[in-house]
Amino acid sequence: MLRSSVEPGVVLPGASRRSLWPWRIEPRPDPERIGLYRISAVLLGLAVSLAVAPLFTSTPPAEFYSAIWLGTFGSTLGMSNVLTIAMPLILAGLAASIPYRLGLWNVGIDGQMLMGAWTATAVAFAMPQAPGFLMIPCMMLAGMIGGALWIIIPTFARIVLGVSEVITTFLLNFVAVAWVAYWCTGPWYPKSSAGGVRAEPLPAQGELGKLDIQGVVVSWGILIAIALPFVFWAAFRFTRWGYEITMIGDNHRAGRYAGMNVRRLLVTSMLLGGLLAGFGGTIYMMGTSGQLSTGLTNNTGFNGLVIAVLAGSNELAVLALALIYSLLLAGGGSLGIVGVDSDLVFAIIGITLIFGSFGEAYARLRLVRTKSSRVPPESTTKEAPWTINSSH
Amino acid sequence: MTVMTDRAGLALELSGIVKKFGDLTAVSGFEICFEPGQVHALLGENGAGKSTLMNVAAGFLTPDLGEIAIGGRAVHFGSPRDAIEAGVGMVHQHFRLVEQFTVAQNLALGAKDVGTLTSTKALNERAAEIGATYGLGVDPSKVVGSLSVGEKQRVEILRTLSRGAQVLILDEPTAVLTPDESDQLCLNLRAMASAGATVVFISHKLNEVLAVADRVSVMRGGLLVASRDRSECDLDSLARLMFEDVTQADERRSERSAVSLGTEIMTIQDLRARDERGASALKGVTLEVHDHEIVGLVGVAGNGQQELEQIVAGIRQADSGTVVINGDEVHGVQAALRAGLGYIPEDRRGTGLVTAQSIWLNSILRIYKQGTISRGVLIQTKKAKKFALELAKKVNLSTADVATLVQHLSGGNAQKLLAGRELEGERKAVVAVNPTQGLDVKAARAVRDRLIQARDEGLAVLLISADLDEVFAISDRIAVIYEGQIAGNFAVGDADRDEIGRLMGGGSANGLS
Repeated sequence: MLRSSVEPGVVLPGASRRSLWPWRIEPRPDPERIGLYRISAVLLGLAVSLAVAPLFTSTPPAEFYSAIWLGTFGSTLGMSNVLTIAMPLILAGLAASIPYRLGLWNVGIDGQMLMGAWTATAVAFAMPQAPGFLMIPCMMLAGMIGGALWIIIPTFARIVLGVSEVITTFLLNFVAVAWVAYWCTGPWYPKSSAGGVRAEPLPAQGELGKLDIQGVVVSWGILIAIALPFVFWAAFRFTRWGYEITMIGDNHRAGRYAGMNVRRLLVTSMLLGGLLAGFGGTIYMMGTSGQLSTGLTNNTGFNGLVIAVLAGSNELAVLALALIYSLLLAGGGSLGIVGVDSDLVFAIIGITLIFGSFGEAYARLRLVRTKSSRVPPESTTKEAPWTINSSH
Repeated sequence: MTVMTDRAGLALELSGIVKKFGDLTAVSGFEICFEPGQVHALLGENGAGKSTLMNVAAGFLTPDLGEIAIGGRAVHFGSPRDAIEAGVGMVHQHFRLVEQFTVAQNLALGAKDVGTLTSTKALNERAAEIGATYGLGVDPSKVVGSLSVGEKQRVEILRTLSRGAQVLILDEPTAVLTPDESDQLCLNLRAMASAGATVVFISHKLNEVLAVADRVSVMRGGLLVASRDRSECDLDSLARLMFEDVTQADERRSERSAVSLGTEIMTIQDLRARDERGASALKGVTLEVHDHEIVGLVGVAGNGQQELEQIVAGIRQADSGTVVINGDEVHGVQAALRAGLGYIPEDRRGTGLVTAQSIWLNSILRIYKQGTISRGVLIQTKKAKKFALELAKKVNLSTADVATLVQHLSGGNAQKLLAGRELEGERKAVVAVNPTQGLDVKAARAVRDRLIQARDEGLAVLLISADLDEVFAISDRIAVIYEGQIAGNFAVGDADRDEIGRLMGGGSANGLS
């Protein structure tokens, strides 16, 4: 849900009603089908952008679509790819979505993912001989803590001093990249470099195992990633904490009126955002890349933010949108095979998201024809409930 | 060049004008006529509908129903421009002048007799001529930004008149003026009326209305309650017309059904607190509310009411002093709730209710931690919905679908929900702040009746209200707060409106130390 400070459709006094634009935008009286409009808009955007995209390439449309098909549903490799991309993206979406429910913007998810992965790596390197059943939970825990720690300063700067968390979380991304770059090029410099700024690979027992579902191979971290949106969806509906966050939204006064500890809720939602981001970075590293690198997140955090805003405080929508997003990224990646610059996929994603955000507005607002400003002729003074009483 | 048009002597007649804003009817249909050659004062409290009515007459608002006639000819205004072409102009409290331009340039804006290329000299001459015609002197070459408020107003009036307005409407024109400037304005308005103009003077100040008007109309709750010649008016009669409730409701409806007045339910003892800026807001407030009693606390806004209500409700901390509710000293929202305090805050849509959420989520807003609704960390949604459904039935809500979002409820229904939530159940006391603000007459009555019912059931009711009539109509006792102290405390039978007004303004009471 995008929040706007100006109520749409307000006609200011003095505005002439005889304008050339006989339409007015007003809130929908029945926004029950909001989710339906939203999803339809995203799918429509997807269809339009996919239909138009081949026109901008020299590749025959048939080859274009078959490449996308093979990169997604059309092959086990494609499906593996989609799920591998989706795993951190779902967590990034949640990491943005939960603070966003309270009107807070977590723009530092990439940094939190990196710092989570860094902390996990540090733990793994500190206990290189430990068995996997010990190392894996320790790394996951460390990843969550690392991500949460990375958002502590913005959180308290915001809540105590009123410093915008948009600026602080955003800028800490660069600090995190520099920090990881230092460790990858210094203390953790790999014995055999394979290009890029990468650290020494994790100990083998610290990597997550793979699931193999009829040829679709993906780290079992995907199970956690798919389960978490359901967990939060239920938490927001059935727990006191969820009720408090739901009711406060960005109306903190109602929370104080009801005796809620609003500050504590703001802090927990931000820290939870950092924690989920750190966890996402960690399981991606443990399940897919196998080593820390500055390019680990590949803008997953920002993509997650876009998903959270479009999903509008609905964790299941975060899941659905993250999966659609992953399909596009995976399909776009395979376009390279047929000689199309895979960056074209970002144009497709962009168009889809623009449709999605208009769908969001369309779900809330409607266009109605303005009535004539003429006074209806049947109005008479007979209806007046009170007339002059000059004698009184 | 003629500035004066030949349309002198236009009467403005308004018949059956109805104007609604959402579910609030601001003007509800009556006939009123403004005669030429008169200063006609439109008197009423804030929110009586005066400005709305005249904004309709001047084309700023389109009426839902009703007719406007100028000089006996029916007109329809789509914009203020239509109105000024028909001879009706309005001067608002906020001027529509270009501060960077000179007086002459401002007067030339939108004027039909000024060409695209006109020399500054010609503009100044034109402006001087306009000023002379209407007897309002302003230096044409002065930049408007450098003028005093009174002078700016004069330019605004001149601009309206020079565009052909024969009916001049002024919306609370003295609100922004110094006393000297006000006197000067009144003289000018009298002169204009003598010259044949129709002057409509909107005000809520009785004295200046009596000083300037030839005829006085009193509005109240969107209706016209009286229209009389100046000679038939005096201060007392106008005050009575202005403040008395339109529908005879208000011979007091507050005769107590049970008279067991004895137990103090709410005891506020020597409360001291500071506001957000650290200034002392409460300087030792002591106030008791008994069972079966409504205490009305009145005062000009900003005299400590907000701090007091918030401390009692547990949202704000006092520096010293105590609040005891039903025998328990309370600190914090949960303690106040446990002691049986309901709280109806002023800003129902911003504080009391979360409008983007459903009725059922809102109906448990203050009790979601209690055992009836939650078990451990879980909210029992079935019980919550059942509770909401019962509440909706009890307060007679317009809808029984508790999944409806609160933003789709009318103001009256939203307040029913809020008041019901705060009054139903094991309540001992309630703080209600401006509970009928913004409601239409019927909804306001329902809320007052609900408070009276609560009182009759034995609750201690602290009514903090800016609406003196409301306080007089339903309170058993009236206390006045001024600069963080209780300036007076009367049984309602002994309370005198004038005296209360004096105390609210910081004067001393007769017969009270």
